[in-house]
Amino acid sequence: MLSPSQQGSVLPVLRALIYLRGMMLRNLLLSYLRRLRQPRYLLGSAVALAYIWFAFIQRAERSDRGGFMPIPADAMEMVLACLLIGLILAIWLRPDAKPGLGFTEAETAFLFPAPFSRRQLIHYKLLSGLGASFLAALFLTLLMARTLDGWSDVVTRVATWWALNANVMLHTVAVALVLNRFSGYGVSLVVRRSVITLLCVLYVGGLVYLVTHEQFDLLRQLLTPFRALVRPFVAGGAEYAGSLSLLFVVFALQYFWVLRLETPFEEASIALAARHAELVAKMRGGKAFALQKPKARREPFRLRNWMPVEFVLLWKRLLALPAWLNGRTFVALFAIIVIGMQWLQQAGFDKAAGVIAVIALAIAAYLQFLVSMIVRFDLAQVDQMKAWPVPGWRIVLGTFLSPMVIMTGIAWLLILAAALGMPVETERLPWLTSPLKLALAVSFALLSPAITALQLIGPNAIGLFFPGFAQTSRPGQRGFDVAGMRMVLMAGQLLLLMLMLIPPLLVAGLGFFFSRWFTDFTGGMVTASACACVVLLLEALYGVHLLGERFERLDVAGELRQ
Amino acid sequence: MSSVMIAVEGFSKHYGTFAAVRDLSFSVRAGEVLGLVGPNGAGKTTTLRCLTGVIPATAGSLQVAGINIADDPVAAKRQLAFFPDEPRLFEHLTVRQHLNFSARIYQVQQYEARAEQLLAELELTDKIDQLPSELSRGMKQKLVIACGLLHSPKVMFFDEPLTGLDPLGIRRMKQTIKRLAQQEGAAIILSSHLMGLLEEVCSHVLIMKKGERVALGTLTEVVRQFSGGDDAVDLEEVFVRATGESGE
Repeated sequence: MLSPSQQGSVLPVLRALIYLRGMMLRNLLLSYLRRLRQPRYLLGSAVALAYIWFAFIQRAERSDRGGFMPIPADAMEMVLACLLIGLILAIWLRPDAKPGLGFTEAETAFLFPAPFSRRQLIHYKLLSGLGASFLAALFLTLLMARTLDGWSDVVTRVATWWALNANVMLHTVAVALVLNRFSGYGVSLVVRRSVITLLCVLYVGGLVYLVTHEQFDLLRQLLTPFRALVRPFVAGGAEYAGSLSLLFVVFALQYFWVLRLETPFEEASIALAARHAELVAKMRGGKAFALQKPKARREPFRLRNWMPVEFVLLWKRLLALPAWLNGRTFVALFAIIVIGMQWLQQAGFDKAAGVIAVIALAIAAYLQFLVSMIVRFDLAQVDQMKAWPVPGWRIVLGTFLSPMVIMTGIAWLLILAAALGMPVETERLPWLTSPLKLALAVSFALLSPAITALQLIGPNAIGLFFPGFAQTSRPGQRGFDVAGMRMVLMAGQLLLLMLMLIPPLLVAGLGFFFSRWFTDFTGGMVTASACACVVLLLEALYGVHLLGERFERLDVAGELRQ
Repeated sequence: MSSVMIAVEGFSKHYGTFAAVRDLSFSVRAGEVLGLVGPNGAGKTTTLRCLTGVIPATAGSLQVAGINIADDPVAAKRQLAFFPDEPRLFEHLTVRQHLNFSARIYQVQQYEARAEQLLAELELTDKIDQLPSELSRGMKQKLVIACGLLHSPKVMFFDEPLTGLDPLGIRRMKQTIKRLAQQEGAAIILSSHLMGLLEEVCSHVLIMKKGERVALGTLTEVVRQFSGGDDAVDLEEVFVRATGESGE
């Protein structure tokens, strides 16, 4: 016999859910249409629409590849099956001892004290998840539109993604409930994670063994149940219908399983909802990269009375970093890189060292791009900083110092790894001599802080000169139009960066030309880099002054009100 | 004599080996307002959450309007309303739609007349088509109260109801709580750190510390218990003496 908490029809929750989601969608659309009256949102929408059209839909319509698949269907099925197992293991590896179900804070406030049984709340969660799974299916299909062949393929792919997403969502809910039950039985987080980690190690080890020993038949047999679950991605016709039906059967079985798990989840869900709300608030406040709870850490350097305000800001911002990000870590990494790369080369792993060098260079380049995304003025903070008795340019300079110090440190380590790992005078790169490699490393190391400075000027200039636009497109802000605005912003930043790179490139060219009278090619390159570095730093200083003036004149309250 | 609407007997709540609440017993009758006070970590919010059926108790009996929450949580929840300290609303639902949604989850038929009356009482009528982002903190709090009162609950739980309200909002909130108890006969538990509010609104006080009951009774009884014969002692001083907090 069912306990009263298990009883309860699905209809009341379904009605409430449909009303809630329907009204939210309606209000969202209305607010979206209303804000289209503002030119920046209209522009953002137009750009986002154009991007979707040209990047996905038009390419999909033009596609004549008959359902493009990068590797054979059988291999693709195996890869997808492996990914699915990895995903399932990741779900079981959840970091919390008592994982909650994903309700919003408003849902916990309204639904948990409401006259719904636990089972009805689970129904609500699962049905709500179905809607989210469908939206995710549409998004994933759009993302992979280039691999589709016509609109019928679109429909089958959406159905496949939906069925798979819904199963993953159901499994996530089931795992949360099972783990809550484990916790109730006294199974500690350490024990549970150790067991799952062991399974992960066995799984990855087994995969590597089977692939390296070319035991593909055995691998295929072991993956059979998971291959069956991902088969709709590669199957067609009757086989597609059959494999999709299997996903629905698994869905029904999991739904039944979840409903039978009579485990308290409310407390953990309230905590999860609170954490999620905090995360969203941080993201909307422009602190997407400060998601961890702050912890007290050792001072990066002793703050003295005589130190200028720029150092105070640098000190404050370095204090906000995770404790492990400090000078000792830098020195340790330096030692690891030097010893590690030398060992790789002495042990005959030249190729591995070369690969590491290329990866290090790629990361260094990517970090230069990333820096423009991380450090931006938050208008709410600007209001507070404007009250300080300090000229605007000094606040701007102080704000930029910490990312410059951190990014330069990271870039130098990566350049060091690349310089030590890159082989010289090989068949592929016969022109890369040792002196040239050294010159390249010195040049990159010289240019790195200056380019970082320039990367900080661009986005922040846009942020201060077009604050409404930049503020709306901050991380955490949602919407189709906001996505378009971000694209416009990125294009603007790129254009600005290219314009700012023209003078240093010209001066570098001149420096190289004249230096060749008294030095060789490598010497010329270092001279050119030094010239470029000087011009870049002058540009950055001018930019800091310009931003400082704008900073002082900015009416924050007026901009935020828009 | 009015009937007992909230009955707590031997209630305990444990988180692993940690006891958040230990062997707590008390009752609240219709028309009474019980002030729940205690230092941070005393177990007030845990008690409220268990009483509202949001989380299960480890031991003991919790009854709301004569219904045991563990036996029939759905029926018990129909009789109660919980007003948390922070108004947590749906970002994309208007005031009107929040009321409609509440009516659906509590299955209140013909809720419109009751909603209009509540909106007028709480001065929200002209905000009916506004979203939470367009409301002040006080207005949001009022909306939460309107949603909670829609199904005419007999038992109510307020957790720090004055947080973030302006002076006018504070006065109105006090009046609302008094009216609900005195005129509508609701049994109310009010958790707050504001002794002035408790002195003004509550008929009874329960002081908790580290999950245990330190004092329980009418305001006069509790004050007498800790005053040591001094007539000038107020509830704040009683709280300091009862909980052993220095107050410095």
